[in-house]
Amino acid sequence: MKLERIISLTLRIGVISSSLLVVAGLALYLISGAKSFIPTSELSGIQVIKLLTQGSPEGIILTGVMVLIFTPVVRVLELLFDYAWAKDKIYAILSLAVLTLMLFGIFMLPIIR
Amino acid sequence: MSPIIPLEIFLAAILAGLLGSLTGLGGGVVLTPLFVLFLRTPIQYALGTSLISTIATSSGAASAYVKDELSNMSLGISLEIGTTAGAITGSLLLYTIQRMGIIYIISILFGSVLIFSTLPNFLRMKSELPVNVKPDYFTRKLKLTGKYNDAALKKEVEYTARRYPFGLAGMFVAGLMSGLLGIGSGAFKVLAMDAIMSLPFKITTATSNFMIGVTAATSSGLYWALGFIDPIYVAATIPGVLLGSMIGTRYLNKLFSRRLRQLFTAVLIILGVELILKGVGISI
Repeated sequence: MKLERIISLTLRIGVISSSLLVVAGLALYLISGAKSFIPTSELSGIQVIKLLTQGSPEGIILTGVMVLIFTPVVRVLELLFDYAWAKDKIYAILSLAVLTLMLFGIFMLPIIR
Repeated sequence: MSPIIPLEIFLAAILAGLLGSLTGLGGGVVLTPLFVLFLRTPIQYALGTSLISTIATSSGAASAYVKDELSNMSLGISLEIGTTAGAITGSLLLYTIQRMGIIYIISILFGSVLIFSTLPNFLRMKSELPVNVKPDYFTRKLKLTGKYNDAALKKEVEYTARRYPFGLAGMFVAGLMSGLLGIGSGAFKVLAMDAIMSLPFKITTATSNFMIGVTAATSSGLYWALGFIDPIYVAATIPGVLLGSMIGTRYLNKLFSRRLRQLFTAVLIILGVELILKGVGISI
């Protein structure tokens, strides 16, 4: 498969699956009646997955949000593999740098709080 | 929360998606003023919701552009260094502002950026292609050239990017605005590639869409940790804004004249002014 197709597919799958998750979570929330939510500041990714397995609306919605956040990460990872495969040194380094900055923003910055 | 509220959020999101695509500014930058001014959403939740929905709309649009080979992925990656570094700086700045308890500054800044983002709609836009672009050191080193099939001109267009370091600096500013205000800041990205790097408009818009998701995802970690991401807001907004921008691009863009679109742009300027007034404590 061509790289363009793989990336286009990645983005599409990411957007569609996360939309389905948030809509399902919202529907469940509206049916099951109002419950107060734990703010995301008190929730780690692992706790969200735990909530998801318990079928909580908040867990389902926030899993959708996490899918959305990781869609561009996967996209950059695919580019990195492609450049490494083609032995394009400059661009392999550039995409590795972008990936590092992204992961720093997603995982490291929250710790400073 | 009563069920009316998610419905209101959903409708506001559709409107934001429509206005965003008709004015070319994107949904995120319209979402926050609608939420803050009409639904009285605390600005923190508005920023968090718009940041997350920006990833959805830009990825959706990008997936179409990549297939048409309009977005230049190498160009995107080489500039994303700037936008991600900017996003980290911007979200840290937002964190500091929140801690200092001066969040009203964000409202003022947001209004100003919203007004600034509409500028290209009035100046715009010579659709001519840049000519005689001389390649420089970075053009050769990073292979920043390409070609695409222009449907309107019915010919293959070759293009060359130059002044990469300045473009990168522009991207840092774009990323900073994105992290600070929870927007895609497509206007800044397009401006940097268009005015500084002399790229054709089609390539800049498509590539910018591609970069927005990467930039917004980088800021999302801190937004999450600050508790700015409200599940109900996000869940009602994502489908709304996707629906709105889809209707906007597919059907209404052909229907509406340039003048009518400028009218919508004027509406956004009014929203920008209202946000600034709200920030300084005057409400109307």
